[in-house]
Amino acid sequence: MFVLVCACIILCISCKKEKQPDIAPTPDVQGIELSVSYKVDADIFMTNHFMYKTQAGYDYSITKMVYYLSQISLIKADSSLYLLKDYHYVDAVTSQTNQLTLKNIHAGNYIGLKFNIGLDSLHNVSDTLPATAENINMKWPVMMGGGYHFLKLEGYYKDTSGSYGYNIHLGTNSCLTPVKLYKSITISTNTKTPVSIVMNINEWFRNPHVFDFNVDGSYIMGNAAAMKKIAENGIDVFSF
Amino acid sequence: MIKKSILILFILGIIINNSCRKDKAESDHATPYILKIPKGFPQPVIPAENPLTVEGIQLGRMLYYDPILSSNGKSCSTCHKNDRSYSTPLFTTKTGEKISVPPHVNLAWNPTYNWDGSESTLEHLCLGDFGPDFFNTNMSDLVYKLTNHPQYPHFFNVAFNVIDISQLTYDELQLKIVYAISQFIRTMISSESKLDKVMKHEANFTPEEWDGFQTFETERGDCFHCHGHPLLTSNTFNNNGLDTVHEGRNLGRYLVTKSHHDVGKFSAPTLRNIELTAPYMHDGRFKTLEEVVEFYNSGVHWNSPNIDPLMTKPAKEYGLKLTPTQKTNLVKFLKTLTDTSFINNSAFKSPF
Ligand code: HEC
Ligand code: HEC
Repeated sequence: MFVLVCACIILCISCKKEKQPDIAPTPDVQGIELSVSYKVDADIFMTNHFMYKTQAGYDYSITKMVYYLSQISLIKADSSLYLLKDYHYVDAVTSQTNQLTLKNIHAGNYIGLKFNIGLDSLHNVSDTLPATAENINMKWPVMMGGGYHFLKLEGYYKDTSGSYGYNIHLGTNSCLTPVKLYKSITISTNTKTPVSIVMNINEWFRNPHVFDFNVDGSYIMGNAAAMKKIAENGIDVFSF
Repeated sequence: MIKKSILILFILGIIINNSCRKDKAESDHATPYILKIPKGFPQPVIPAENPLTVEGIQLGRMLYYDPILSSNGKSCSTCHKNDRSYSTPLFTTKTGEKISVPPHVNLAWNPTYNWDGSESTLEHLCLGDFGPDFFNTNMSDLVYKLTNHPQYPHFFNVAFNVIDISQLTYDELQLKIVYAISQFIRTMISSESKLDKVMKHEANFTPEEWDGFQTFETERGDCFHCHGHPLLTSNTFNNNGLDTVHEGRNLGRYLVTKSHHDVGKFSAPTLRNIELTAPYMHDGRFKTLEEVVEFYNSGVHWNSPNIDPLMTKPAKEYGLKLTPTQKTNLVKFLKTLTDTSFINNSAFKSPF
C-alpha cells in the first residue's frame, strides 16, 4: 500500500513544471492579472521615434526594451512576502509578455507588490534558465561575469554633433534593481484582481543620478560605474 | 509482496512516462523520428502537420540530391553543396543581382528563412524551388518520372502512405516532396565545432583563438549580441552598416514588411561553418573573413539608416580599433566554428 501511495505522489508531481507558492492557495481564487505599461513622462511609449528627452538634455528614441522581472511577490500586512512567480521575461513591444496571470493565490488583503528588475542571484547563473530563444538572447557572456542581461534598453540619442546609438544593458548581481510598490490589494475569491503597473522610461536617466550618455557612457556592459547608476535610477521607474 | 510492489511501481512508471509525453501526430505507416536536441539549444519548431519520420527523412534526402525534380538538371545540392556546409558561393538572379547562398545548418531553429526573412516555413520556401528561377519543373514529366522510378513509389508509400503517385494532384505531390525535404533539412544539426567542445570543456582554445573569442564575447568586438552561442545567430533582423543607400534587394527586410524602419536590415546569419561559406554578406561582397573583420573594424557606415545601435559605439564610429594581432586572432576564432563532424556526417551526404 505504501508503495502505491508513493507511486501516486510521484505520478502527481512528475509532470509539474512551475514552482508552487509557499502557502496553500485558496482553490477557487482567480488570482491576479498583472499588466505592465509604459510612458515617457507625459508622452506615450513608441519605438523608433525621436520624441523623448533625458534629464541631461538629450533627445532620444527607443528601438528596443526587454528585461526580466523576478521574485514577483505580494507584500503582506506584516511586511512578509508571498512569492507569486520566480521570474518573467518582458518585451515592451509584445503585448503577451506585458500581461501576466498569477494564479494560486491565497485570498486576503495585501499592502503592496515587490519584485526585482533583473534576475535574482539564484537564477542569474549562465545556462540555468530554460534554453528558450528569449533567454538565449539575454545571455551575459561568461567572460563578463555570466548570467543574463537584466535589461536591454536600446535606441539613439542626439547631441550637437549628431545622432548615436546607445545600449543601456544591465547585468551582474550587484546591479539587481529592487522595486517595492505600496497599495492595498485585495484578493477575493471568484474574481480576477487586476493590478496595473507603469514604467516611466525617463526615470532610468534620473534620480538619484542624472545620467549623461556622453559623460557616463552609452555602451555600459563593461562599465560597472555606469551600470550601478542605471540600477539605482531604476528603483523608481515603476509605479501603480 | 515486494515483487508485487515493484511490478506496480514499474507499471506506474510507464504511465508516468506516457502521461508526460507531448501529443504527436502518428502517421499510419511511418516510424516517428525523435530529433536529438543538443544541450543548450532551444526547442525547434516542427510543424504539427509534418512530423519527422525515419522514412520521410530518407525520402527527403534522396530528393534533395536528385535532379529528377527539375527540368534543367539541377537539384537542391547543385546550390547547397556538402563541402560548403550545404551552400554555394553565389547565385545570380535574372536581373543580375547577386545573392550569397545560405548554408543548411540548424535551420530547424530559424523563425524565418532567406536574407530578408521572406519565408516563414521550410515547407513553403521549398515550394518556390519548383519555379522557373530554380528547377523550372514540368509537373507532368515529374509525375511520369517518379511513377516509373524503381524506388520512389515505394518510398512515397512508406513515408506518406501514398499508394499511387499518379493519383495525387500536382499540388498534393509538391506538398509531399517539400514535406520530405523539409524533414531531412531539420535533421541537419551542427553542434560539435571546436567552440562547442570548449564550452563543454572537451577541448581548449589556443591562446590566439582565446584572444579572438574575447574580442567576440566582450564589448571589444561585441559580436555576441547578434551571433551568440549556441546558434551563433540571434535570429533577428539588423542593419550592420554595410551601405548608406539602399536599393533593390539591398532594401532587405523592408521588402517584406514595407516599414521604413526595416530598410537595410537583414537576417543576422549563423556563423556556424563560416569558414566554408565564402563569400560573405547577403550579396557576397566580401571574399574572405579578413575582409569581414576589417569591415567591422573600420568600414561600418554609422550614418546608414536604421543602423543597429550596437554598431555605433563611440569607438566604432571610427572603427573597433583592433590591433592587427587582434584581427588575426578574431579570424582564427571564427574558424573554430567549423564543424567537420557535420560536414563528414554520412547521414546528410548523397545517398546515390
Ligand atoms: C539555383 C540555386 C539554388 C537551388 C537549385 C536551390 N537553392 Fe536554396 N537557396 C538559393 C539561394 C540563392 C538562397 C537565398 C535566397 C534569399 O535569401 O533570398 C537559397 C535559400 C535557401 C534556404 C534558406 C536558408 C536560410 O538560411 O534562410 C533553404 C532552406 C533552401 N534554400 C533550400 C533549398 C532546397 C530544399 C532546394 C531544393 C528543393 C534548394 N534550396 C535549391 C539557391 C538555390
Ligand atoms: C547588430 C548585429 C550584429 C553585430 C553586433 C555583428 N553582426 Fe555580423 N552580421 C549581422 C548581420 C545582419 C549580417 C548580415 C548582413 C548582410 O548581409 O546584409 C552579418 C553578417 C556577418 C558575417 C557574414 C555571414 C555570411 O554568412 O555571409 C560575418 C562573418 C559576421 N557577420 C561576423 C561578425 C563579427 C566577427 C562581429 C563582431 C565584430 C559581428 N558580426 C557583429 C549582424 C551583426
